[in-house]
Formats: sequence, C-alpha cells, structure tokens
Amino acid sequence: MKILSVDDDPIILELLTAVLASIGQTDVTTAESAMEAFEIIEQQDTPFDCLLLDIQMPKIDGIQLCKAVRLMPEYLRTPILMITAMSDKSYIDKAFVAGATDYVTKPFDVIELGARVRTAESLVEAWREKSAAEADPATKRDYVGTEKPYGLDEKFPIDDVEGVIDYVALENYVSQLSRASLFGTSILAFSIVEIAQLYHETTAFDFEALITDVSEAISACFEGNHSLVSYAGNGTFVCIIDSKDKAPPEILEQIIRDTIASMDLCYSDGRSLEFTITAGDPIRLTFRTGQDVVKALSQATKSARFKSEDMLPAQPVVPLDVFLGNCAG
Amino acid sequence: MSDALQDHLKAVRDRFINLLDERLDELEDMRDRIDLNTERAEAFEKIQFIAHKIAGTAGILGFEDLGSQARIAENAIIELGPKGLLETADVDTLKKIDVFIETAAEISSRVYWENA
Repeated sequence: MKILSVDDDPIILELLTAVLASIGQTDVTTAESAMEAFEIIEQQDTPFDCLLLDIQMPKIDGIQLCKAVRLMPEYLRTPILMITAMSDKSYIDKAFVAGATDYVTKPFDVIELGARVRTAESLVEAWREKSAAEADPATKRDYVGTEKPYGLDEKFPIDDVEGVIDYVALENYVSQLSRASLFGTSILAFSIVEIAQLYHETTAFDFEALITDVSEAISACFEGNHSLVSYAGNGTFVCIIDSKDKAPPEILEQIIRDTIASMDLCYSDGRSLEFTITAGDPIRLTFRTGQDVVKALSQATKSARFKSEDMLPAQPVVPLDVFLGNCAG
Repeated sequence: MSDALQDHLKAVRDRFINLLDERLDELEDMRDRIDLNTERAEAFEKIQFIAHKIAGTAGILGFEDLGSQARIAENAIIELGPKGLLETADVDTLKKIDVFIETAAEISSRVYWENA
C-alpha cells in the first residue's frame, strides 16, 4: 500500500515509518507540512492508497488538508487516518465531517496503530475490487432491479452531502468519543418504507439518487447541530445526535418527510417518486467498547427497519404544519 | 512486538533524546523570558508548542512520565487563554511548566550518563 504520512514532528514521522515497516508497509512517503503534502500529491503518477494526517500543523492544519484532499476525485475513497493529540470532541467532529476515515490519538499504542492501518488496507482492497467490478456511472441508468452493481443491503458511500460520512467512518467516530462525550449522545435511524420494492423498480442511477436525496433531507434536518449521518444499507440511515437535539423522533420524522416532499423527487423518466420514511427509537450511548458501539448502531438500525415494515404500504405525506396541528389537537 | 520493530523504535528513541536536548535549551530560554517579562506571550506559545510535540511522542518511546508532564503543562497554558498569556501567570501554571522542564532535564541527563 502506498502511504503518505504528514506531521510537522519528525519524531512522529520516524515512528510511523517504523511501525508501518513492522507490518510490511514500506512504501511510505513523509511530509512535514500540508503544503509539502500538496506538492507530493501533485507529483504522483498513481495516487496514494492511504493518508495519515496530523491535525495541529502550522498554516494549514490536518483538517483543512483532509478536506482539500477529499475534493480530489482520486482521493474520494482513500482511507484517511487522523493521528493527533487533539482529543476534544470538537476536533473529532470536524475531522470526520472533513472526510476522515479513522482517528487515532497520540500517544498511540504501536500495536493498535498497526491494526488500524491493516483495517485501512482491507478497505483499500475492498474498494479496488469494487471499482473494478463497477460499471461506468453513465451506464448505471441501464441497470434495473437486481442487476445493480451493489446489493440492497450495501452501505455504499454518499458523496458531496455535508455531514454525511461513510458507515465505517461513523463506527470509528463513535468509538473515538470519550465516555464524557457519549453521555447525551444518541443514535437515531430513519428507514425508507418499501425500500425493497423501490430497489427493484429503480435503475442503479435512480436508486443512488434516491438515497443521496434522502440523506440530504436528513442532514438538512440536523444542520448546525454537529450531527453525523451515514447510510447503513437497506434504505436505512443512522444519525449520531447531540443531546441538544431535543425534538422527539416523530417530529424529526415529519420534518424530514416534509423536506422530501418539497424536493419533488422523480425517476429519470419523469415519473413522480413517491415514498415515505419512518424513524426508529433513539438509542442512548452510555458505553464505549467497540462491540457495544456496533451493537448500538445495529439496534438503532433494526428499530427503524421494523417500524418501516409496520408501515407498509406507504402512507401519504402529510405536511408538517398539518401534522403538528393534528398532534396539538 | 517484533525485534525489528524494537530496533526501529530504539533508533527513534535516540533521535528523540537528541532532539530533547535542543528542545530543553529552547524551553529554558523561553522560561527565562517569562520571568523577565520579555515577549511573554510568544514564550508561552513556544513552550506550549514543544510540550504538545513531546506529549504526543514521549509515551510511545517509554517516557510516560515526561509525556504526562508535557500534557499537563500544555493544558495549563491553553487554560490561560490569549489574555492570560500577557498577564502575570499564576504560580500554579508556572509550577506545571517547571515540573515539565525538570522532568525533561532529568531524562536527558539520565540517558546521557547511561550512554557515557
């Protein structure tokens, strides 16, 4: 794996190079600033497979560098590990919103860092296989039903929607939060009702557009609240919500339905795309082991899916003001 | 941990100690500036910067105590805030910086005599 490591501390760069060599990663380039990293990236004939970035660096910090790198098409899927002493939640939030895949705090455990890089390598391999198998985006319009390049349950990434990150990154994000940060943090999932039917009826292009539009509506609902959203497959989206978001799920659900209705979504052939979404039960995070986090995400996802199955067939969309009027009276 | 990795880490540890000597000179210089009230804000910022670097690496290389003291000094300076950097620092903050510098000096000296 071709790795670029960026840190303004030469000792860290040497340490990383040593740790990477010990797990067989010897194709490592180092840069002592974001500017030097940009220059090195521009000089490459083939892009790096993985980036390790420090956050606190003079002039351009690692979060800005991460954001800039993610704008380059060849680095859209590249695992980016932030290796930093900044352990405050605000930095963790900013790093993942900027496109980080994982977050390791200094001083790091040498063995654990090796394991994280191996995980990044498996992501790289999975994406290589995927991109080799995936058709040109232009032909996605022709894929209908089960002929899509991905399954209904696949957690495919959503690009260019603020606050929406890859599912793997979301798992890593929650794992990084300290116990103090976890208090008052909840996971809430939303599911598209009759997603299996929609999956079979749509082309690959239309299905991706549908998932992207719904993620945009969900993200807009939490805008400004430092919430992160991810697509969990099967038409389900998981959101990590701050305690400040006190609105009950049914109100959030209605706001999102209203936003979707205002988008006037259509199939590529012009037909109106009608569907609704449902919210699951919020799952409060009060623990932090990796397994518990995965369990909590799965619990939130299942809750939304069960509710969406209960709602079959799709209910007509009720505008928010009408819904709130009904609730009040 | 493999022998190869341990060898690599020993080489990095030696480099860290060499750099620690240079950083100590700078830390002592900055600490004097605070006492002399010369470019105090810059002196605090420089100490914070060096403490941040040491806090990130010392623990990995087997100097856990130095890493902890560096983090304590860094956080104490951060807590001063921009305004605090210009005012007479409280005794507690200066004490935390001194403990950090003393710990660094002690390690530097110990390693010097081990290798002598």
